Amino acid sequence: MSDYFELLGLPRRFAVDLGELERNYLGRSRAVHPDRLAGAERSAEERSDAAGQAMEVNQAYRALRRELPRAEHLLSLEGVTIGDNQPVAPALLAEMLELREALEEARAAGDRGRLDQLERDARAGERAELAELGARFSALEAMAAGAPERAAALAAVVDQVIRLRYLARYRDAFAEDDDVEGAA
Amino acid sequence: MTPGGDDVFVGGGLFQIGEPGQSTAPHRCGRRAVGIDLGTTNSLVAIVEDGAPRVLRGADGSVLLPSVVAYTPTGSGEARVVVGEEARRTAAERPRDTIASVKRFMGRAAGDLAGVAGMVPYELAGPGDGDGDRMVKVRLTDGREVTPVEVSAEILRALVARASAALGDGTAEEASSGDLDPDAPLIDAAVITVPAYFDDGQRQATRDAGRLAGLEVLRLLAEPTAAALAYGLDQGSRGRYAVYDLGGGTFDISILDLHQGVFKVVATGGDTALGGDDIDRALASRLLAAAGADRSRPGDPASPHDPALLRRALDEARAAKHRLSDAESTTMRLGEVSIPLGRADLAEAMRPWLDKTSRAVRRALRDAELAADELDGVILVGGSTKSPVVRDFVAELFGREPLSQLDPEEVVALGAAAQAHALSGGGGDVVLLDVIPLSLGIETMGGVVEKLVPRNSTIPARAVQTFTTYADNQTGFDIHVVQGERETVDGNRSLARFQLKGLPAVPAGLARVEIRFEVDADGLTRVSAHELMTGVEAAVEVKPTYGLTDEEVERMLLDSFENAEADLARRSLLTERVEAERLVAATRAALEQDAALCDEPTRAAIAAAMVEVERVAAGTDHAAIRRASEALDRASHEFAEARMNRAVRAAVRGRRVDDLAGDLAPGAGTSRETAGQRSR
Repeated sequence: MSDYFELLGLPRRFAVDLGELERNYLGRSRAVHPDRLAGAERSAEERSDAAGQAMEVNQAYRALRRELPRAEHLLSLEGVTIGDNQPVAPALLAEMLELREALEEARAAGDRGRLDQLERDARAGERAELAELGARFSALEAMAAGAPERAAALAAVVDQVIRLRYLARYRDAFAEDDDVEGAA
Repeated sequence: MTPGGDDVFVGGGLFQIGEPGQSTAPHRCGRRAVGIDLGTTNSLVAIVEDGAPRVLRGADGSVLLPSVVAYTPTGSGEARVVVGEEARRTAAERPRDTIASVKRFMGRAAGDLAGVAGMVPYELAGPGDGDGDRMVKVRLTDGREVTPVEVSAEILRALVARASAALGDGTAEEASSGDLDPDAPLIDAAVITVPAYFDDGQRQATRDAGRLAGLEVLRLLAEPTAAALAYGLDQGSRGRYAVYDLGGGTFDISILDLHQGVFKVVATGGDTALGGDDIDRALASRLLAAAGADRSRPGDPASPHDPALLRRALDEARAAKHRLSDAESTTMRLGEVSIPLGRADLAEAMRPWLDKTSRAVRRALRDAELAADELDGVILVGGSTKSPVVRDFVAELFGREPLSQLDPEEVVALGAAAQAHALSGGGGDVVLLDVIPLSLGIETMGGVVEKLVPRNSTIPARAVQTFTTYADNQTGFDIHVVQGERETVDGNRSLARFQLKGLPAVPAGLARVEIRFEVDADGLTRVSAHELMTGVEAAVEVKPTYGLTDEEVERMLLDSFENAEADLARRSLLTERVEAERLVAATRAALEQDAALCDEPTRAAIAAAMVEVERVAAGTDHAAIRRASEALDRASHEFAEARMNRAVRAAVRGRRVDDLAGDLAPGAGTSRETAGQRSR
């Protein structure tokens, strides 16, 4: 697994300076973009290498730009991958069911105002939970590599990542309304 | 897949037939790369000279080449393909051999086109029996079938010829040796623009057309990106821009961010089947309805309108629309029917389509996480944005006046030329980071799509994901690659299927298959799969479903060389004879039926012309038969017009067009091709 933080010249931690990420990404892109080799006397192999590097840089940018994929990348660097079949706390499931029901009701009623309100709530809720994720990462990152309480801190991060996955999927559901409309 | 096929072409043998051995570096300085806007309605070609891009004009001085291709029936003894203004002008007379708006069919299968089939004047051939024959085709009156890729290649050839001619003077020292015109520079490379929203199949078809025209396609560039480049937003400025592109047949919305000399497409969206043509059709429908000539079976390709009547209605609708750019109101005419048309009527006719664009705009802004008022500017692209109705709509939608210093019809070609210049060694300091317009994924259990590359991912892009087997001892793994936003396979476009074989026979869930997507800078996709335990592999270039295999391109190229010779004259003679016989029979029938519409001198002239056709048809000079047939066409022109007008009058009295088709089609004069078609 490549370390995307290293690739884009950033410290490996959850809090990322987005301006720095953008600057480093654009700089790397300029350096490796296959078009930069166009017209010059380069072999097919060199071009394909450049394309591979450009893909990697784009992949890294995509992983680090948003908090949730960034958190998942940090976890994978820790050797933790969260599968789709991870056991989930019943309370979280119940909460999600309730949110989805409210969404379905508003859709069935064709209540645009209510839908917009629910979407604003979903975004606000997600922001709050992302702040909590940041706090849990800060706690984890403050600990020494071999600290005994580290496992619990890591588990707390994993829980929050799972929670955020559900919230992100719920928020995505609002975009479907546009898609359905647009396809009509 | 076509094993080894790539070798044939990458090695460069076939495409260098005109200039053997010149494909490599030492001759680069003699090459010129152009930018091509291959549009639905019109196409343009531009080039960078002295550091600035300019659009190249045709011999008639126009910058727009109508994207219309007319095929002369095989063996008529004339040039076999006519592209541009002349083809557009004669479209009404030869509707079934004249192909317009072919871009809408690029990369499409016959089944995709049910909605438009009844509203195009030419005949769409169904999918054939052979493998790889799923691409939609147009059937010409002589029975030939042409693919949209071949038709587009004709347009590209015409553009290259136009560019060569325009650059022919004063560039002799740069010209290549060989048997080309020594004054004309060698144009063998191009950047071709595509709507940002084109899917993989449509992009592939566009690149195939370029290859078929003998061009090295340096890049498929998204039209809005090209437009933004042309606007010189790269000149040290930074900001976020929306490009609203409403062309003849497609709509694109893109949000771009310029920063540190990198041009990044943040979000893109649109509709590949929405544009000015829809407006033309809506207006033409009004006109035909006013003439009492509603389509009897909508969407049924087997019973379109009478082609000539439909073509006339479409031409008049387009002309009326253009007149409304300057005037507040105008009148649409068809035969003796006329209906008034004001800007408010036009706005009303356009409203459903404009509303569709605003939904796409909302979604793109959402993807970009921007509000309309956070943009630094809005750029207009496409002929349809010249309409005041569209401009007003866009200004309202974004809450600001759009930029319009550059001609919205030229701006894309100018940007493409700039990129062609940069990619052919001319330098240029801007890096373009474009995105993939539609998500890519694979089908998983239950027809659910697992997206690996989400839409708006920057390209080139790569995504890797691991899947497991679902059955014990499963030794094969079917991989179905799809593109689109729906959660299930049904709503998405199927791009390719392939199979990974030779998996180890182990319990379900133990074999692990890693699937890798790679999307190159043209937006074209390659998918590979390998099993992690044993290392067995399989890969596919995503293209055989709708694109052309390399063998097909090769065959088409060879056909085009071989056809020039041998049996052509014989085929010409036979075709001309059959056509001449049909023409005479149809004219005779029309005269018997409608003698009253024809005065005595005209009747005599037509009769004399018929005798002449019959006389030369007994001989072997196909050109003479053609000339005599044309003379008969001319002699009976007025008579045919009279019958057309009578038919329209009859329509006003409440008869349907399908009944009228019987009156219109077998007539003399301008419906010659139609007659040939109907009697088959």
